Amino acid sequence: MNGDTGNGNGGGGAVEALPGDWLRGLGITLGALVVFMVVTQVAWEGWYPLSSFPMYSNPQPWEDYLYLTDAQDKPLPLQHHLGLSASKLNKMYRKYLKDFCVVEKAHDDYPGRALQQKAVAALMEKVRPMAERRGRPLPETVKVVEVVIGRKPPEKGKSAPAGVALAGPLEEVPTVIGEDTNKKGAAK
Amino acid sequence: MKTWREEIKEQFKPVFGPLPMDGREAFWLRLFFAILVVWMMAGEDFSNLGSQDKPTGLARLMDLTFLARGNALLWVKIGVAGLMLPYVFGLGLPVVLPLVALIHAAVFSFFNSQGYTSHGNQIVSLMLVGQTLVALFFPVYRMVAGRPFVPRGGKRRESYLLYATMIMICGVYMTSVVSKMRKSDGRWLRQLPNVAVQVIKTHRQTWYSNPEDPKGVAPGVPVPKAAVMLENPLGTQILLGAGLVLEWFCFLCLANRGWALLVGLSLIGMHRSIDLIMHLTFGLNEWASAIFLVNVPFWVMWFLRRRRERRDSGCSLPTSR
Repeated sequence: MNGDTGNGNGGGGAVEALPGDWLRGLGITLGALVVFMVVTQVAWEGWYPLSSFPMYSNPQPWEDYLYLTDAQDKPLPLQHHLGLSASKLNKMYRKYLKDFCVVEKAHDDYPGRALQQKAVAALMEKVRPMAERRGRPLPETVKVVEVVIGRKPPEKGKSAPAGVALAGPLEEVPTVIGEDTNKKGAAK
Repeated sequence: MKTWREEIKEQFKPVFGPLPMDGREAFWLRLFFAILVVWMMAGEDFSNLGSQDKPTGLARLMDLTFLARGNALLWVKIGVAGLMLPYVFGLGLPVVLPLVALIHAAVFSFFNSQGYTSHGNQIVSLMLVGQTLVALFFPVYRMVAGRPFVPRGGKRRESYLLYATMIMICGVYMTSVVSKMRKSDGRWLRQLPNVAVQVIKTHRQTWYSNPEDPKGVAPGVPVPKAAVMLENPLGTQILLGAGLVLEWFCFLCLANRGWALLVGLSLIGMHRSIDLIMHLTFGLNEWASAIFLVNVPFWVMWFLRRRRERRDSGCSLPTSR
C-alpha cells in the first residue's frame, strides 16, 4: 500500500485551480460523459454492462404484468418455485413475445392470441426446469395470467396519447393468456 | 488561520479533475468497494439457471452456463474475494482489476442472459471497468512514453481511480435521462402522473413474487400511494421531476469534494424515496454514491486534521458562549 502523498497539504483535497484549468477540466469531463452516453445509447442492452438504463423512461397510462396459477386458479408463489420475482418473469415473457413479434412483424403491445401463446410456451419451457432445479416443481397444469392495469389505448393508436393524466380508480383486468401442461408428468 | 466557513468554502472551489488524496483515504475507499463487490457476488445463486438463451455481453461470445453447474459459482466467488485482497492494499492493480472486471462482467452477463435485464448490477461492473482503464493507463503510458506517468500536485493513482469511478456513476444517471427524453419523445415530465400505474404494478408483483412479503399488496386491495399520485398529478411531477434534474446535473459532483458530498447524499435520498413509493431498490447505486461521492473517510480525516491544526495553533472550535 502506498503511504502518504507527501504533497504538503495532507490530502486535504482542496486545490487552487485557475478558471482556465477548471473550465478545461469541465470540458474534458463532459466530453467523456458524452462519449459514455453515445456508446450506451447505441450499444445498450445487447452488451452488458452497457445499457441505456431505460427504466420508467416512457410512463404509459397502462401497464401489464404476469402471474402463474395452478389448475384451480390459485396463484403460485413465484419466488418459492422459480427463485424469480414476478417482475423478472414478466420481462422474460415480454422478451420472448418481442422476439416473436419481430419475426412476425407484429406490434408487441398488440401481438394477438397466437403469438401470446407461442411466447407462453417458450416461457414455460424455460421456467419449468428452473423450478425442478430448485426442487420445487410447478404443478402439472399451470395457467399464465396477464393483468392489464389502467387504460390501454385501442390498437390503432399504437401508443398512449401524449401527456395523459389518469384520474380515478384504475381498472385491473386479468386474462388467462395460456395454459401449460407438463408433458413429463404431474408434480406433487 | 482560516475560519471553518472558509475551510468548507475551499472544498467547493471548482476543479473538475482528479484531486489530491491521502493514502489512508485511498485505502478506505478500496476496502469499502472490495466489500461491496464481494458482498454482491456472495448473494448470487444460479442453481435455478441452466441456459443463456437470450445472451448479452460476454455470453454472446462464450458459453457461460458452466457458472450454474456444480460449485463453479462458489469457486468464482472465492476467486473474486481472493483477488480483492491485494486490491484493498493497492497491489497489482493492473492485473487484479482487469481480472475482477472480467469475472464480474461474465457472472452478471450470464445472469442477464435469461430474458430479463437487471439494471442494479451494471453500475458496479461499470465502476470496475472505469478503474481498470485507469490501472492499465499507468503501465501503458510507461511502455509508450518510456517513462512513468507521475501524478502531480498531491494527486496519486487513486485520485484518477476515484475520478474515473465517479464519471461512471454520473454516466449511469445521465444516460437514463437521455433515455427518458428519447423514449418518451420529450414528454416524460407530462407523462409522469402515469407512474401511478407502475406503482400499482410493483406492489402487485411483489405480492405475486411472495404473498408473505409485507411490502406486497394483494389483488383487489387498493394501493394508497398510487391513489395519492392520481389525485395530485402536479405534486407527482414536481417530486419525480426533481429526481430527473438531479440525475442530469449529477456531473457537478465531479467539481470538488463539496459537491460530491451534496450530490451523493441527494442521490441516496432519491433512491430512498423511490423505494418508499415504488418498492424499487437500487441498493448498489446507493452504496456507490455513499462510498465514492459522500466519501466519509475523506470528511472524517479532513475534520480531524483541521481540528488538530486549529488546536495546535491555539484556535478552538466555536463554543455556545
